[in-house]
Amino acid sequence: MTSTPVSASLDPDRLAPEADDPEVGTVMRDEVVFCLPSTPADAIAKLLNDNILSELVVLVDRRPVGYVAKEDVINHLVEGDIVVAGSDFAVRPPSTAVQARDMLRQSPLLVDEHQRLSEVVALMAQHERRLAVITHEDETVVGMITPRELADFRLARRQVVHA
Amino acid sequence: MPELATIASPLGAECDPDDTLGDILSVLRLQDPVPLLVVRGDEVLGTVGLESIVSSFDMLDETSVRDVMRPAPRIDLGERIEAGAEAMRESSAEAAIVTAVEGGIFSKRSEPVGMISAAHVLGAIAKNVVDKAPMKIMSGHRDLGFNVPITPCQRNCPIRQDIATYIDYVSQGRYVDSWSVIHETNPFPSMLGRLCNHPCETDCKRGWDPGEDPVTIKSIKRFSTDFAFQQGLWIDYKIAAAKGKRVAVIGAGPAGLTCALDLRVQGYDVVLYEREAKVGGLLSTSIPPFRFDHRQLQWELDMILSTGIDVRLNSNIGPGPDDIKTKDLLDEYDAVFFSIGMMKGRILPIPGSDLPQVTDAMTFLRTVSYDKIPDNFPIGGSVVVVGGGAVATDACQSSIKLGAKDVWMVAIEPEDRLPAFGNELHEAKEIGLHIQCGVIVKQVEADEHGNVKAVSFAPLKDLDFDPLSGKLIFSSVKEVEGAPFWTVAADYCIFASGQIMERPDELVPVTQRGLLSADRGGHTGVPKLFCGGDCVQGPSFIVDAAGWGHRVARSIREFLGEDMQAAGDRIYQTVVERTDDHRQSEVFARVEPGILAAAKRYDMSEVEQSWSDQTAIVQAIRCFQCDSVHHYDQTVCVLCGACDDVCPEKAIDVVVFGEDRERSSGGETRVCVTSGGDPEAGGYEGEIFINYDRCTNCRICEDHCPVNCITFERVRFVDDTMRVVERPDLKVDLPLVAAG
Repeated sequence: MTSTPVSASLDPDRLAPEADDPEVGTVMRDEVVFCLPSTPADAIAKLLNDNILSELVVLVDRRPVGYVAKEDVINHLVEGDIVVAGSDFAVRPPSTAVQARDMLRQSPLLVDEHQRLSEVVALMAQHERRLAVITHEDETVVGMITPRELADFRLARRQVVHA
Repeated sequence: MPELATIASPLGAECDPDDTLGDILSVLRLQDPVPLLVVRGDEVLGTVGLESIVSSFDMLDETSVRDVMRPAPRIDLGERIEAGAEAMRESSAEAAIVTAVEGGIFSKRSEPVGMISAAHVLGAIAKNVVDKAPMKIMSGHRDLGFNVPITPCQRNCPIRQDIATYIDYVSQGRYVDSWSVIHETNPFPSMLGRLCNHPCETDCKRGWDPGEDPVTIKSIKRFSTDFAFQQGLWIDYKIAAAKGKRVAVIGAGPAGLTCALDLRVQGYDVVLYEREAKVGGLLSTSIPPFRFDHRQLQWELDMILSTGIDVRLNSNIGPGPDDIKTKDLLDEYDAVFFSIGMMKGRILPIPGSDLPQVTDAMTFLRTVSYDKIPDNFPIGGSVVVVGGGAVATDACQSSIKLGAKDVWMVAIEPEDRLPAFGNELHEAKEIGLHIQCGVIVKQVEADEHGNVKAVSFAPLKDLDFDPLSGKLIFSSVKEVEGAPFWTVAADYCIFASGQIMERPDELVPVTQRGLLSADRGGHTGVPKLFCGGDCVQGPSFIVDAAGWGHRVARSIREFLGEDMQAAGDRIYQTVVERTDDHRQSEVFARVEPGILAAAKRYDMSEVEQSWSDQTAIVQAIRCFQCDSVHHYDQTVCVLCGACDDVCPEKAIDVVVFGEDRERSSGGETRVCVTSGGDPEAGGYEGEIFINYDRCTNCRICEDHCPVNCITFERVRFVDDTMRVVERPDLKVDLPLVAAG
């Protein structure tokens, strides 16, 4: 008899996810920070910073249509399209006319919530992306995954293994 | 100009180039978004950030920092932030080392004193952004402690439409979002965008000030719906797991369809009985085609019925031998809902009312709705319509469009008190309607062949109206004694003098007014039997009927044992959105939709025209967005009172405990409770109240807050019952811009 491994006789789609490679929906940040095409660049900077993101998904009618990367905002600053105001302004200064639509990148990286984490990370690496938007089966956005969630997952697994 | 010194942070944690990513993972995570310095000896070789783990996630313990580190350019502390950003961009760096000159003339050299990263630069750009509202979609219901108000328009709407939100979405050009929000509680937006009596506009805050008009809410709804129809969009309802319970809904009008849809979406098996050959109730059979686009009604009905509602047409519930009996329904189903409306017109019992050319308006309009000309209708002849309401106006206009030469509307009320609302009368008069008011019908006269030849009316004395309801006081209806009758020649007479509810059978309780007896939740006192809509309330508006549908669906779900508290579990997402201010809206006046030129109104073409998107956006901008309200960051607010001082509406009260400061706004909504330090030692402690009946969302408080602690944001809870999908096969060529 040949020693065929058991796994070769099983449909991988019918197996429960392994602890080291769970469904991405169990690891994701269960909120989606977004902006609209009309969101100004300074507000995008704030959203990126407040939520510690490198990329921000752009939604139209609650559907992802693209994303903005932090490098795009910084590029516009270097080009002089955005003014960094001092702190002595009593009221909101007009800092920029640049909006998300002016620096929109396509396409957003969308992955299904049931996809395995390893597959999602491979996709992120392949596309050189730092944000994957997690969608429900009906394409509703339900969460996102960034290097922070990846690090948290790996650190948590390390603790379990050591325990 | 701001310099790097204003944003640079001290040099942070370090690692060695021979470390692996696995070694430094916890430090990387801790310091994110600022990268770690890669140092060998005293020399900074570069930086490594958390983003580097993506490409080597499976080999963190085998990947050395050296392989993934990025360069770290140096830049002087006195350079501008833009120069620092440029240095990072040019070398594709995640961070730059900020240096300062140290030493004397001969020993002068630049030493690292700090660092900047992309996060520092973004922070500088964002420094003066006062809109701190997170733009977030979060799963499930989240109580974030935000102020979630009910707006005046929403409070007045029988189906609690989230009006301010869908109007704001139109102002942003988010038409599909707008249509989706409308559909959350409104299965007939195309109808209600045209035919609603819009109680929301009655209480719109924009119209509270003298000389101001409310927002054109109804027509904005119509605009969104026209857009969705043109684009071939479709609501895909998500049906919950089957409950194993069966509900019969009798009557496929607005109340019945709304209830059936609500129950179906929650997983009930719904059987819809309709005695007509088509669903829609009075929408399909009593409202003539020139009032709306029938294709849109069909589209909305299709969306509802595609959820799997079992429709049984030509099925009457009643005492007749071929009718279905109420008792059988109660035996067969877990619950039965009667929403049979008031579909029979009333013919006043005066002499001559039994002549063959006399009919009631409901029968007349029903025949027209089936694309037929009513029996005995005198094309080229004279028609008299008795009544002054919306149904009478529809009968008059339909008569003109069917080819009657002279059409009279005769009513007892004076013309400025006629129940018909909106442009209806004006439209009808433009195409030749004659109106006679202040008379009461006495007789339909017949010629020698027994056909109608004239209708006679008695003049009335001045009438009194109830100041509260505006309805006629019966005791004031008195004929002018001795005055001659006013008689008008006629070939056909239509009575638009009320509607009658036809009681299904003795099992269904009725009131003294001849209406079905039920409370506001539709409970009848008979086990398993619910009633609602016009058949309980009397003749009312479409939106009221839809409100009944929602309420009774909820009653039925409770009756069938559903835990309505737990039903909130279907809240799928919480959406927090930043909103723009609309203060420029003051310059825009209310605009009504255009109507088709009179010369083009002699057929059944739709009279009211849609708006261009420019008009719709301008009208949407007029909205104060009462749903988007203050959020005070309690950790930042210092109770300085600047918001209170600058508020032009005097809507804010900042109360500092221990200070004698008057509360003048009358507001009871507490939006902030904060303290700082020991009040005994110069600290502060207090709270802020807002009167939202005064606040107009001008956001001057936001502008003048010295610590930027005020933002305006909207919080919405979205359930998982529906999704918008595109159906290219449905896309139609519908002109969105009003002709002319």
